[in-house]
Amino acid sequence: MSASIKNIFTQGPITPAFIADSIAKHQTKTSIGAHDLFLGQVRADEKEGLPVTSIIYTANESLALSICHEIREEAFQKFAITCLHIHHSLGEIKTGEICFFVFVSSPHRKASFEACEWLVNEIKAKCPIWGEEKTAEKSFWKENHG
Amino acid sequence: MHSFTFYGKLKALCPETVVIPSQHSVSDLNTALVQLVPQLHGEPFLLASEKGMLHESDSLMGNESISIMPPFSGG
Repeated sequence: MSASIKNIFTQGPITPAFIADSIAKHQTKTSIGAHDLFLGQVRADEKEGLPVTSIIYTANESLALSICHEIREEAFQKFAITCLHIHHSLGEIKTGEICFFVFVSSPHRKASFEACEWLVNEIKAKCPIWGEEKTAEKSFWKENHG
Repeated sequence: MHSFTFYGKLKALCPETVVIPSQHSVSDLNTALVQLVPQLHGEPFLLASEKGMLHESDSLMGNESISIMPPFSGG
């Protein structure tokens, strides 16, 4: 039986405290021997001579959750992992703040490394989420370049 | 009749309401969209219904809620 659809969205930035708490919650899962984390941080790219100050994230939420669910299910088929968690911000995230958090755990490190990279790439490619980069003067729609 | 929702940069570019007669395939819908919504001309976009992503060869019932989406840029 497949798992239920999980919400991946958080309004606002993903805080260091949330990430630390996520790690702490796994201390009771003693079959796990490895964790791999990806943290996406809003970068101060330069647009028309001005630094990006924040990114506003929007999504087609119901479709994104459904697609993320399929990606999760595929990850469990492909890799020998124990659990995985995906979190993505919505709303305005300032430069330096965390907007994307993927956390994979497994008995051995190879599966966590491989699954985490695969998950990040799949989510960026397939999930209907958009970023609008803001400078002091105007906004630019973000494009992903791999 | 289909209903349409635009996302990302297309939400700002395209009209709030789009009326397009029901189409029987995604291919026909793509053609009708580009003809009737000139703002889409030259803009890459993807389509989805409540059931998931739509592909050029898919059939339509004619009453779907259609999402019109620019390339994704999350993460």
